[in-house]
Formats: sequence, C-alpha cells, structure tokens
Amino acid sequence: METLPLLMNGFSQALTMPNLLSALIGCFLGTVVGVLPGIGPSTTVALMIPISFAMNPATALIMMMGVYCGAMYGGAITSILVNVPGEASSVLTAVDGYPLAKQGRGGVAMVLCQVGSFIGGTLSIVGLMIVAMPLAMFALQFGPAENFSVMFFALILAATLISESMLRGMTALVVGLILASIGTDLQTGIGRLTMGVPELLDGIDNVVVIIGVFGVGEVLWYVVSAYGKTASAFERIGAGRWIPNPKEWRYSWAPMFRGSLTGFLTGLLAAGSVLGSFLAYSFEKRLSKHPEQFGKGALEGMTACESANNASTGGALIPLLTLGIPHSGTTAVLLTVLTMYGLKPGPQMMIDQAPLMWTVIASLYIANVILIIMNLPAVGIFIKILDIPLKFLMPIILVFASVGAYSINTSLTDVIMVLLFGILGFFMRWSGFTPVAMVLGMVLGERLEQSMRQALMISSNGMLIFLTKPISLFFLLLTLAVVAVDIVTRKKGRVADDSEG
Amino acid sequence: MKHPTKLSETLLPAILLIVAGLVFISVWRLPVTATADLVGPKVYPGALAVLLAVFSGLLLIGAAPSHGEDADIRLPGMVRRFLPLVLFSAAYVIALPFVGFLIATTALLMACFFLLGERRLWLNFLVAAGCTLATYLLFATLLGIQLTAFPG
Repeated sequence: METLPLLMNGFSQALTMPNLLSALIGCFLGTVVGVLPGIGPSTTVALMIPISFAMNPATALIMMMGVYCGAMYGGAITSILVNVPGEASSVLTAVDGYPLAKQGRGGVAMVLCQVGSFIGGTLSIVGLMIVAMPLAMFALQFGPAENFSVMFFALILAATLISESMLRGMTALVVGLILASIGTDLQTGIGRLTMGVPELLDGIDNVVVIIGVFGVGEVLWYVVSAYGKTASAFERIGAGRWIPNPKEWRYSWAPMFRGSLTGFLTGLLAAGSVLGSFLAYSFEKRLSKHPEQFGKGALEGMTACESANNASTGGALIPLLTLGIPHSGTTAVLLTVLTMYGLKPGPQMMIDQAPLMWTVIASLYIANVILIIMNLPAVGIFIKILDIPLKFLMPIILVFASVGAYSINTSLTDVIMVLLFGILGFFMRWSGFTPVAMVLGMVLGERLEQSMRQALMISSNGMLIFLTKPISLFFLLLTLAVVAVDIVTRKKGRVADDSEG
Repeated sequence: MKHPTKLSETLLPAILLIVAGLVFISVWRLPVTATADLVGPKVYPGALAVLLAVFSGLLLIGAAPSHGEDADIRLPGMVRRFLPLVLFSAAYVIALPFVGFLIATTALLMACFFLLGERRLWLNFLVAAGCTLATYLLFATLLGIQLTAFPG
C-alpha cells in the first residue's frame, strides 16, 4: 500500500541534478563497457569504488546501477555487428543477431534488441518492487541440489535444442564442462588439467573463450570460406534499414515479454543472466513455428535472449537487497559498496533505509529510460560499421578481439588463448558442432560441479538427495521430458525427410 | 549407420577422442586427498572424459552425420588464408612485447589487408595506422588498460 508514495519520493530524489547526472554517466560508461569485449560490468563497478568515496551513497549507487544496466544494453551491439559478444549472456544475441546483420538487417536487429532490453529492464524493476520479498524467500529454497538440477536442465536443453544433433550438442557441452574444470579445485586446492602451465591454475576465463570462438572463429571462417570467390565477397555487408517493419515487430513483441519473465526469474539464481538468456532462447525455439530459422537470423530468439539478460538485473537485485546474497560478480561488488556505506543488506534494510532504497529503485527506471533514449539514435551511428569493406573489417575485428582479451588480465596468455579458441571455433563449425553448447558448459561448468559436490556433502543419502528434494526432482524430470521430446521430434523429422526423399 | 568419410566429420571427433584419453590420464594421476564430499576432485572430470570418449567414438562410427557448413572450406583456402592468418596472429603476440602495440598492430593489420586482397599499400597503411591509434586511445587512454605503445 505504501509502495507508491515511497516510489514517488524515490523519484523526487533520483531526479535531482547530481543524481540524474550520475545516472547519465553510469549509463554511458556501462554501454561502453558492454560494447567492448573483455571489460565486464563487475570490473567497471569495482573501478568506481574509489570515485564513489567522494559521493553520497544514493548518488554513488545510482551511478553503479547505471553501469550495471548500461552494460546489459551495450552487450548486444558488438554481438550483432561483429559477432563478438562481450559477455556470456550475449552469446545467443550473436547467434541470431550476426546472421541478421549479414542479411542487411543489422539495424533492425539492434533496434529490436534495444527495445527488448528496455522492456526486460523495466519489467524486472516492476517485479523487484512488487514481489521482491516472496520471491527472495522462494529463492532461498534453492540449495546446492536444486541449483545443480536447474543448471543441468539448462545445459541439456541448450545441447539438445540448439544443436543440429543431440550427440553433437552433448559432445560440445562435455568439451565445455571439461574446459571449466581446468584450474584449481576449490575444495582441495589441487590443480587439475593445467598441463604444468601456472597461468591455468586460475582456470580459463569465459570471456576469452567467447571472444575466441565467436570473434576470431568468425574471422577465420570468413577469410577461408571467401577464398577463391569474386571480389564482391570482400565488399561491405551494408547497413540497410534500421526501422523494423510491422511484421518484424509482430514476431518480436511476445518473445520480449516471455524473455523478460524468464530472465527475471532466473536472475534470482546463480549465473542468472546466462541461464535466463539460454532458457529464453530455448523456449522460443521450442514455441516457434519455424525452429529451423534459429541460428540463421531468428528475431524471436535474439529479442527473447536480450530481454532476458536485461530482466535478470532486476531479478539479481532481489536476493542482494532483501537477503544480502549476491549471485553474480557485479552484485558481489555492489554488496561491497553497500557495506562500505554502513548498509546491511537484508529484509530490514528495505524498511530502515527505505528512502535510499526507493531512490535506487526509481533510478533504475530512469536508467532504462536514459539508455533507450541514448542508444536508439546511436544505432544509426554504430550500424555504419557494416559499411566498412570486409577486407578491412575482419582484420580489425581480430585486433579488437585480441585487445579485448588482453584487457581482462593484461596478459598475453589470454591473447594466445583467444587465438587457440578461435581455431577451435573454426574447426567446430567446419565439423557441424555448435560452439554455443560448449560455451554454456564452460560458463556453468564450475557452478554445476560445486553444486553437485556441496549437495553430496550435506546429503545423508548420497545421490538420492537430487531425487528427494521436490524442486530438484521437478527439474530432473523436466530434463528427461526435454530429452524424450527431442528424440521423438527428431525421429519424426527423419521419417518425414525419408518419405519426402 | 553410414561410416563418415569426409575429413570434416572425422578430424575433430578423432582429436576429441585423444583429448578424452589425455584428460582421463591427467585426472587419474591426481594425488589422492581426503575430502569432505563423496566425489573428490577426480570423479567429475574423469566421468566427463569417459563421456567425451563415448560421444567421440559414436561420432567416428557415424552415429550423427554432420550437416555442417564444410562446403565452402577448401584446401587452397586453408593453406593460403587460414595458415598465414594464424601465423600473422602468432607473430603479433610474439612481437608485441618487443616492438610495442602501435607498430605490431599496424603491421598485423597491413599484412591482413594485403592477404585479403587490398594491394594499395598506402591505403593499407592509412587504415591500419588509424585503426591502431583509435584502438590505443580507446583502451589505453580512455579505459586505462596497460598497453605499451612503443618498444622498451
């Protein structure tokens, strides 16, 4: 009942000149960070901590929230234009966005992504306002066994639905899971699969794999596949139009809302933005009347994924603000900032620090408005990249990817890794494997293993813990159902193909 | 089940089979430690290695024929484009600490432009130098990433 006056009070605080300026700077920096591969929102928010000492808590938090939201918006830009996702949650935006750009619909893809981001971001704040506490309590039901089952479900869904064959998808997924197990075992401190390379003790950075497989892999693929073709193969793609037509809007609006809901709910869990974008994409593919278009430029998959990863920001803030539990790198840094100002995130904070919290919530609405106003006109500028002839653009992407990888740890080892993963991405594509399943395995692998081992540690019945917890059992049964449906669907498809042939 | 004959269908599964073996051996050799959980550090990657071996084996015997995009990839393209590009990139990584970002990156870009068919060296130089400078300004100056501009 008191929500509206509190929100209005929050807006009156957030709309003061210093706070508005702070939101604007945060949104701009966040977008830049999202566009550039390598530098994630968590690093940027962390770098802002020293600057925030000079600000009051509200102004500092508003700027940091602007960075967080802006990074999610910006991630779509390079994914679509040059097939270089800056973060794991943008991988599926690239999977369909880049083919759209190659078809001369890059501008349309970018506009729809920005609108999807706005819808996802805004709806998640509404969710944060209305159902924060009950959802936070529900999220508390997710222990290691439940987390394991959800991640297992997402991985199997991705491997089966996104790949051309289940076996190839599973193979790519297992490769990703093995890559994720490289490095120091968190529970025993033993270095695994490091081949004596000390740099590998920290594991392989997900972003390095993503930049390599998608960015460098695409450059290598393009350069080899265009060999021997006419000179036009090296000409520009062309910006094309950037205003979506009614049919494109019709295809996109429902996935935007469905993706927002998925992203918001998964935002509550560990690795929420990645889980959300993959699940939203998989659901859209399952619902679509033309699933064969996915991966070749399906607007539904791209917009759902982009809405989901933006909606996950609101979802991720719920366990942070109401329970003091961070589920991602960025929310962990935000927790540090909150405690730095003497705030204790938890149920009481929403009551004791109500004016501050509602100012931050209001600023999230404002950040989303700023971002859509700032980014929509920028589409016309960014899209000019596609006017660059490919013989120039492809090597520039190579350099951009290398510098992006270097910027993660300022290490040349990461540049070498990017090149190696680029070669792997090339050969995977050549052999009909989807790198997406590998990337998802890589991103969720460590959490999957840790959840499994933690669950077994607290279990008195061994592996039965996964079947005795209702939520865990539900997701395992759902996984079985997905696999069964996939097998039947593929079998039917093969029978139909044979009879046509 | 039709046995795959194309290199694109057999090469990667064969490599993955070898990788699975190496992973399994590497995990097997890990020291035995007392852990609080039932699984320990060996079982999970070991099980993954077994799964990878099984899946790769199935792919090698043709359980899931590829409908990949291998039609565009030809040996001359691999030799004349793929290999030089990989070599240029490797040389770039080696040269970076010695000649600095500006020279190494300009040289890499010029070599790539030439490889992709742009023969006007003056244009290659202008585009390469401009892009290198812009990248340097963006990452090093604006974002504070440590990039050594010049040798030494």
